[in-house]
Amino acid sequence: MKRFVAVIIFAFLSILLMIFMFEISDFSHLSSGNASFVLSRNLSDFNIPNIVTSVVTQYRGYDTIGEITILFLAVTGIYMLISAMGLKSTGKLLEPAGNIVKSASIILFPIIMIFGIYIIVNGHLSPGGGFQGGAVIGSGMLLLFLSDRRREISSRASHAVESMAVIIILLIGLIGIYTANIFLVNFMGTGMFSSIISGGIIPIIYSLIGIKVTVEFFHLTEHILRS
Amino acid sequence: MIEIIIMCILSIVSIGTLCFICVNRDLITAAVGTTLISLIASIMFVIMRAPDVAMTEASIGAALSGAIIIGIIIKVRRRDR
Repeated sequence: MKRFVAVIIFAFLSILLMIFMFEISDFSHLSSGNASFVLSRNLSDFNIPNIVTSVVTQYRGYDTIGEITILFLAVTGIYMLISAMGLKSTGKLLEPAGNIVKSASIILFPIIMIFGIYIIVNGHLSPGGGFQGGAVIGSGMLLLFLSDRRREISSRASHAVESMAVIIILLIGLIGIYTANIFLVNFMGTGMFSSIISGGIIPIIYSLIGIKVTVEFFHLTEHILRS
Repeated sequence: MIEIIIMCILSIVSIGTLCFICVNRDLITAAVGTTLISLIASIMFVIMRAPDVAMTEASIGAALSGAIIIGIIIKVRRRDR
């Protein structure tokens, strides 16, 4: 019976998805309104090739700060849940890692780290940015943790780094209020088009977001696996 | 046109994985199935020309959430009743 219901749901969803796939493949109606505003203003405002980054950190900067607040609240809620359930940090919960994970982590960990740092630093030039690179580096650190569980990162130091990143983002926003009466406004020069140091405060903000997201994701998974 | 055909195949595979997750009784197999769905979704995002969303989906959906789900399953219980 369960299998029969599953097959019927499968067929229904497949047909629905086929119909929608042809519907959503037409994006032409999106090139008006806000999109045309951003497309026309982006080059003169920030002079960077990745328009998504300028939207995330500048045109919708408030939303990004709300997003990192939501992430912080979610992680805090999980910490509270774990400590309310009385799960103490035991340090050794799963059985030790096998040879495949150990030797693969030696080769893969540096590559993952370099790729994540590349994504964060080139956030204003190529696809990616703080959230994406932070998630990549966090999963790389998780791989290192899974290969050898005795490794520990001091939680006090990482919480300090995380808090400092957010405080510096908010201070940069307040400097914007001081110079131009707008929160998170770009008060630096935009530099040369598509060079690493360009786009004003956009790379700085996105790197700080990357640091915060890295620490948060890694600590969340480590806490759950270790408790 | 070829993009739409690839998208259709990938979406059918992901829905099939979804039904497999719902039917089977081993929860760790089901958790691996959810990471497979995230992987397929990230390929679909690349085809829809959203590479940054694909990066997020691959790293969070396939690595971090899979680790969290498996860690919680090991703590609670393995078999679904």
